[in-house]
Amino acid sequence: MRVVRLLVGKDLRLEWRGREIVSAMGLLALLLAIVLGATRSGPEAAPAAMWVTYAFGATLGFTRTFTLERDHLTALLLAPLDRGLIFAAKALTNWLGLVVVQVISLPLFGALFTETIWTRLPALAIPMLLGGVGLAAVGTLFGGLIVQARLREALLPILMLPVVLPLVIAAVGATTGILDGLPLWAIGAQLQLLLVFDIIFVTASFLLFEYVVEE
Amino acid sequence: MSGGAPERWAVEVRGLVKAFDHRPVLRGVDLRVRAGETLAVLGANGSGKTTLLRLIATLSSPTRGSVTWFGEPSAPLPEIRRRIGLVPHESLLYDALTVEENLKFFGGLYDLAPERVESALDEYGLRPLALRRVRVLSRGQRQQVNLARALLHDPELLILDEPYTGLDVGAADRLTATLRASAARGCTVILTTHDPDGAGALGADVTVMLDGRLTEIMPAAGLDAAILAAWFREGRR
Amino acid sequence: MRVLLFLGIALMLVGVAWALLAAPTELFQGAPQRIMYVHVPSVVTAYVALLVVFAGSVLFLWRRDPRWDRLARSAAELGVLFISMTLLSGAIWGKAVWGAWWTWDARLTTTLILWFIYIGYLMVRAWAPGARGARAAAIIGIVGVLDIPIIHWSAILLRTLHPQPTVFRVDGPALPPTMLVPLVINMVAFLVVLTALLVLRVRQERTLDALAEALEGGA
Repeated sequence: MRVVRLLVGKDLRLEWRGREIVSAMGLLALLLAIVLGATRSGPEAAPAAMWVTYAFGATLGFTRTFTLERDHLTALLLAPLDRGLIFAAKALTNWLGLVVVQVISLPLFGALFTETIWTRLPALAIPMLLGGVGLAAVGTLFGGLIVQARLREALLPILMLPVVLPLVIAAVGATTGILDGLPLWAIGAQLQLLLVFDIIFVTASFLLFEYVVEE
Repeated sequence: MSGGAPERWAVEVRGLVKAFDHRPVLRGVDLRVRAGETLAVLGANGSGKTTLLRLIATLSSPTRGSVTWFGEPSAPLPEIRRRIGLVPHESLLYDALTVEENLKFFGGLYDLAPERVESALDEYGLRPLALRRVRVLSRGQRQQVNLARALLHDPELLILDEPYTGLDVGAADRLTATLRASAARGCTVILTTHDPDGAGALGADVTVMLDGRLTEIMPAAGLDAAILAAWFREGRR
Repeated sequence: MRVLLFLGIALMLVGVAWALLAAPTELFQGAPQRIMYVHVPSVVTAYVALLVVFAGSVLFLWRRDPRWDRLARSAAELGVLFISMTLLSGAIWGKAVWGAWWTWDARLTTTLILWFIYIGYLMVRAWAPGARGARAAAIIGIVGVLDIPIIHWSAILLRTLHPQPTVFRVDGPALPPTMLVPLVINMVAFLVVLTALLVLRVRQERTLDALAEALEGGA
């Protein structure tokens, strides 16, 4: 835990100095929200627009975090740390970045799509958090996988989007239910899927990450 | 080392082969480095010196053959990593962080007390640079910080890849002094270099990487014309 | 090896001929239903290939033996091939019977997404060659199979139109024997062809690796 805090603290400090990732991710998210809103802005389009935005924001940001770390990975691998901790820290940083994107794009979805977002905020937080964790787990694993590959900016969405599609389907379903005013038990299946997805992919990524960074 | 006392080896490399996608870089390296010794690995660019260092630094695993550290074949890797310091050719420092922040971070990875970072700042003459961001440092200063980073946890084995490249005379002398001081404390030092004279100044023995293998270890002065000629031939190839 | 391939092709000819000429015409769907004799074996074969990818990937990461990697890589190519055949034959069948090329049914969606995941696998192989690419691909191969039940589950949350399984059921197949026999023949034929092609591909890859080693490693 101490090590994870150290690694995440370092990442956040670096990001605070440069603000590269959050500004790129955030700007893309705002643009996507506007493009999607300009083409179709009814309340019924809101859930899909939100999750398309988050998924694309994630693919952009998550390639970047590992690219930034690439030259320093040697130092982390050299230290007496479990590789799983390096994954955990990176995934946590990525997830925090995604949360920032989710938060700053919310007002736009509220303004362009539906004001219901504001009244249902506490319930909405549940799929946003669960979905964000899954996106961060898969994105961090794949992001680490392809740091050395050519065309990695194109490769991450190609690899990540099909794998996270079930998550997006469930998250959109849950978000739709919440915005339609359904009680939480009515979207239990969707939330369950999100939770199972998170558990499976956080565990698998944690275990597989060792093979990602080895030489 | 004479007498009957059993030899302590910091590193034993046996029959080491490392291939990248079928292209063998190391073709059977045997090397034993005594604890406390300073050894310079000479060789042409692309001869496999860096690959060898990465293997010795636990960053890479052999295609065939073995590396044993500190005479403990079964020690877990994290334990071994704790006793090794590496200065690779590229800087591992974060450019956007200050010298002090960098050292604190790397000290944290080894679970060192903050006081150790403070003492290292003084020990390696970095106090005046402590609050500067690494981005604004000169190459020589950066190398000094990298060295401090690698020595922070008092490793028993220090590995340096081409540490003298790009340093001015003053920085090179400072580096030599630091390495000599570490060696005097009993730290084993393995470095790669182009420069046999520099190795001599360090009091290092040398070995030459030729055709993916290492020659016998010999004193720096003992490099004979035949080996030098073979080395330069390989460099031109 | 060659025997296997010829056996597979011969079986396939028998199976297809039987399906087209001897098997009865289905009452409601008519002739298009005969696509089943290709469609069902394709999808079974595709999933078998993906399981081979999974097994090969796990063993490769665990044992670091390039033989497992060659197996996984070859199986992934064939998996994509058979998934493509499944999707194509399914689309044609669907157009004829449901009047739509595509529908967001759980099984269709799952198969389509798997196609994308394993295309990604092949892209990684193309763009990140060598040991690193092999490890990356192995991880994708594992993650892809882990994802199968979740994709399927999520697609059920969408909705389902596809017929329920008619062959693999706990209470025995629901097909009449006249249809079951050619289907089983074809299924065996497809699996034999898969095995034959797999062996062929693995051998090719092995030769290629040996060649690369001889060329790069010489001197």
